Amino acid sequence: MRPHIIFRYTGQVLLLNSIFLLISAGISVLYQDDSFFPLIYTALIAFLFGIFPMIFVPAATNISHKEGLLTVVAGWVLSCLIGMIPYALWGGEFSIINAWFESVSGFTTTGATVINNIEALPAGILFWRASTHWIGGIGVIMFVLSIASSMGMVGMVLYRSEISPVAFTQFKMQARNTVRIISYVYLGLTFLEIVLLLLAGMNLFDAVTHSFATIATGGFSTKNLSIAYYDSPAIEAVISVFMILSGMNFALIFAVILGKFTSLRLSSALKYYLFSNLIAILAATLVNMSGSYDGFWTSFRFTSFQILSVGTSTGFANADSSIWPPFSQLVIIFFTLQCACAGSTSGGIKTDRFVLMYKSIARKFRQMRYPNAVFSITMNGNKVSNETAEAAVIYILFYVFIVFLGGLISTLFNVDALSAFSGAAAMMGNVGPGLSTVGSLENYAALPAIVKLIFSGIMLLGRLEIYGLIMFLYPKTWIRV
Amino acid sequence: MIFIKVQKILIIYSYEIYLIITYFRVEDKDGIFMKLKTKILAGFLTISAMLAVAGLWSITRMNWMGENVENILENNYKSINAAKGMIKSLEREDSAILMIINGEAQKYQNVLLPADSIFAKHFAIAKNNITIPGEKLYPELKAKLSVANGKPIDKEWYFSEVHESLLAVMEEAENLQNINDEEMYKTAKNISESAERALMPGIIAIIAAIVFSLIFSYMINYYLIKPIRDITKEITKFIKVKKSFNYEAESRDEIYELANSVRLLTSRATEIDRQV
Repeated sequence: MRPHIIFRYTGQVLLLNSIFLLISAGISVLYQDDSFFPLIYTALIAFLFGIFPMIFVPAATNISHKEGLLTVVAGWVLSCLIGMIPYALWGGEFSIINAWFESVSGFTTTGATVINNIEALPAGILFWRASTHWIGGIGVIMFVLSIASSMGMVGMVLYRSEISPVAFTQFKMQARNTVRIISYVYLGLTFLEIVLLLLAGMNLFDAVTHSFATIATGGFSTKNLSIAYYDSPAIEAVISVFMILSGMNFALIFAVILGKFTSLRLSSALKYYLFSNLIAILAATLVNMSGSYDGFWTSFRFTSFQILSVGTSTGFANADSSIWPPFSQLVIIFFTLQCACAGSTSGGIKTDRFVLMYKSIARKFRQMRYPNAVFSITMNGNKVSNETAEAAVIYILFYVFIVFLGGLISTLFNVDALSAFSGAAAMMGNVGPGLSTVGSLENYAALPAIVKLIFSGIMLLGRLEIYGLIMFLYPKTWIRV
Repeated sequence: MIFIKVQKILIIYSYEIYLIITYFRVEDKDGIFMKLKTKILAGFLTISAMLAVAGLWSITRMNWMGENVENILENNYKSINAAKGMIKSLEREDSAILMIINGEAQKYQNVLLPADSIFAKHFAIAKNNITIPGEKLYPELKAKLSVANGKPIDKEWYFSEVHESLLAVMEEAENLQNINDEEMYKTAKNISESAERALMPGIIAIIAAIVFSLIFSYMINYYLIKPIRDITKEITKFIKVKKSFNYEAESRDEIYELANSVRLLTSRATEIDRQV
């Protein structure tokens, strides 16, 4: 293990953060608010910590997988630590724990907030909140890779550690190309959404911050009522479309841009993602018609937005889903666990693993009928190894166990069962809103400090696909190479 | 003041940008390297930059707090005193009017005139000290009070017009007092919060400096002390068992030069040994 190599590459992540902090400080000057010093001071700290290892440590020619993984996790944790400083320094509703929660929520693209009055935050801080989403959305390391073109094999190892293992099999190309693809798609979608939101009637600041939050499947809004504030079907439609796109595997989007439509047809995860969302929206729309809304279109408007928002792990809200009938609330919980495709910016278990699980179950049934036959699982036209299928099922079980454990521990601190479990699931899936007191139009401000810390840990676990953070915290990882 | 601070920040940034440029130049051209002195200096400058900015900011916050305390004394406390003075003088004026209604004309003169003068004095203070939005209604006071002037004094007139007017004026004076009380409380609360926040940059700078010092000492150990030890070990091996000097410097600095020089020296020594 070479800690100096980890210092060097996490330093680059901090440098990236310092650039966005500097931009946020510029926004603060532009809007003449009082967040300039917190932002510029943090930018300076991030810059100094980022640049210093580069002075001492020369670029590495090779890097082990473990070093790559630790760099990614360290980059994320350090980003969260640096990200909380402007909040803590600015003050207001940000206590130290609130600042940590908000920062983790931003970088992990969860979008859960502990702030009651978001509209009271200065523009600089609001922009920084949105930036944490945008940086976190594509992955801190992915960003660094895209700007550090000289990293060669180092980039490949870091990339392997960063991206979801399920998605990795779908990118059959060099890491640098993949990074370029993801960056192009990410930037293109962000820009396009900004333009469309402007046309739909949003002002430039809101359009930029909401686009950052949508493409990163984050969910931080600049308004207390989230998207419900605008009460605009046009804005909701634009955001819905981009939520769907952000939940798709970015390599597939790029393939479509290049005219390779066969990739779409072959992707089982994508077909399942779109189909499951469609069925859920239609079913919940009909159920909500009798319970919460008058008329099909009104019900469709609110139900589709809310389900897509949760189903892509974005977390925006245009309605209060806590008042929905039990069926629709359970649909929300299911999508909180499932979320969207691997290779996207969304969190959760991911549709790819669900498809593998369904196929494993189907194979088990077939195996019971024909004990001597050999059945294999295929995905996107390719055979999937038993090991991969098994890993997906184990991951789902481990995931649900952590959600259960997180919820259970939260109930010890006087959090009601529905808020605790839906909150833990929303944190693990990096979704944002849960149900009951942490519902779509509520926030996490009222939770006890210890629960906020637990939820922050769960957010990081979810973002780093569980194993990453566990390995980071496991002492032997640091001792043995 | 802010300009100077921004200028200082820019100087720090410029220095760091210079370091980056120098660093990349090192990577591009073989032979040119960043000296150990520069690297160590950069470390110390980094720590001092963090502490300096934190210090500057804490000073700014302290100044802000000082100014606010001064504001409380200047604006709110003065207005509260003026309001109290007005209320007191209005009560006296009210008593004076009641005295004349009761036929005590002499006492009326002795009480009303000084009270009127005190009211006018406090009113002038309050009028010249309008600093918060709620205070802007205040100039209407004088107009209301003037209702009492020049009218024949009888009970009916007093209770139908003057008494109500006096009560209204007193109410407004009380409002003025309340507004300033609230503002004073709000500012004091802000100052108290700000005092806590003023500690924050210092705390962060201390934590950052400690973490940075640990990283710095690791770097010094790994890129300065360890190579010297390794080179010494290699030289000892060369002297004792004539093992060829085998050390590759990771960084391009004096250590790299030292290793190259020792390599050259040992290879020449080996060559001389062979010749002998």
